[in-house]
Amino acid sequence: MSGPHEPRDEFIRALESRVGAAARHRGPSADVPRWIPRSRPLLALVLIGGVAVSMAAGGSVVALAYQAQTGEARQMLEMSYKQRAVLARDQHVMAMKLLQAIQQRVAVGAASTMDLLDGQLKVAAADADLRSVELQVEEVRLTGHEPVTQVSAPLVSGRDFVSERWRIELSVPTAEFQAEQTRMKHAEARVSLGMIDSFEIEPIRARLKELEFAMDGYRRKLDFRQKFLNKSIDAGLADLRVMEVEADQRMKILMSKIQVGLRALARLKARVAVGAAQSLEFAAAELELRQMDVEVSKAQYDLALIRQKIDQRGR
Amino acid sequence: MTDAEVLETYRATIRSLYAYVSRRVGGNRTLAEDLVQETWMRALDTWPRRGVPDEPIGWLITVARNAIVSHFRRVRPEVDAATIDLEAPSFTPDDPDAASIVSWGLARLRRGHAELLEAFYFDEKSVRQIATDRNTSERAIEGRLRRARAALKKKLGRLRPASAPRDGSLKDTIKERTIHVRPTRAS
Repeated sequence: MSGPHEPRDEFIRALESRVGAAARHRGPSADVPRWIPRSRPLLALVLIGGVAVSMAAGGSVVALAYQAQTGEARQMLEMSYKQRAVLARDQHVMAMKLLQAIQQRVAVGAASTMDLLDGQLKVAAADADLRSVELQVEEVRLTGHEPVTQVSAPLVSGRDFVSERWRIELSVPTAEFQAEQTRMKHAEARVSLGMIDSFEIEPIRARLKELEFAMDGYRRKLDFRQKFLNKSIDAGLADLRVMEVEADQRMKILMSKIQVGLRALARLKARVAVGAAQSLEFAAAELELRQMDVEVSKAQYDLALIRQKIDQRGR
Repeated sequence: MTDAEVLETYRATIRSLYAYVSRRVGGNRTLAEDLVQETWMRALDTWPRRGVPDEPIGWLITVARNAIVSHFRRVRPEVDAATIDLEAPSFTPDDPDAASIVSWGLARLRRGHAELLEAFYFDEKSVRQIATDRNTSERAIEGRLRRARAALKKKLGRLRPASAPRDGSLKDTIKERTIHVRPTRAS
């Protein structure tokens, strides 16, 4: 509005909406004789139209109210994720500072290279966490909803947030795997020198296995995500396939733990036999192993159920 | 006539139509908006039957003009005509009071006079421009303007606010009001 004879924008919009509504309402009568508006059918139509317009107006009011509400919720959600990002940034800075302190201690021989590995892992984890939260902030900003983690989630403005998130998450076990490999070499060297017992390598080996399963799980999930996006598989099957991957991964990790547990139990049994350990310790280890066994059975059942559903879809 | 056609016409003409009406009511927004809306409602009554005219803005302005005339035939301004001096070269009816007085008078003049005075007062056309538009001489336009102004003054002589007291106290008060003036237009 620039002059006294320029209409207000609100007036233009309001009248435009009235003109539009009236044009829609009156439009069909263009070629109709004048007596028709007085006829009953048209009167009924006009009444129906009036009701429809009234309902549409009511609907638009509700929609506007809902929009205002969702706008507010969206802002709150975005704010909460931004706060998480601030925290993640702080943690990253702290991890970096800790790593620098360890590096200084390693340089003067006050800390081992294993401590350095731990510091590096913390930085890698904090970095992945920060990137993941920043990704969530971006997703919330674009969608106004909580980030979606399902394999069958649609692209958001052409971006594949699900794959991006999984790749970031994959970087954590990958970094840890490399660190554990270094730790393993270090431990093996100490075993060969007779400095530690060979059994002390077992937890590292088990951890390596777990990390391998975790990395494999992410790769398989990424593969199914790609298949879903390429429309090679539908959303339902993609979801089932990812559930299968997760159940399989859970079962493999438990099996690996049971293997380690069994070896530990045999060792403990031998120690109890020579009086080097108490039978209570043995009983506790045995109980833990049985609990894991139950968990494996449960994981196997879940996996079988998921595979059955996949088979049913295939038929 | 499709909805899109109507809306397109609306968007293309609304500002010009509003400006036309607003000038004739001295920038009185409420009145201008009512009249513009009334004009468009008439268009929506007529166009579905007869189709959108070739020159929609011309059609709308004609209808708006009739709506203004009709309004000022019904509504009597609450101000005294003596507050304005039509003869003053700097006079322009660009405030609601002055515009309502002039429009009230124009609504009672014959069309020829009214259109000439409208072009001069509300469209702010110079004598030369009016002469060019009407394909006539400036001298002829000056003569017609003089006669039209005299006719308007005569009509305005009848205009006395309904609420004006006989002792003229309101008239005196209104006279004290500042009438917006612009530099004299070159003829």
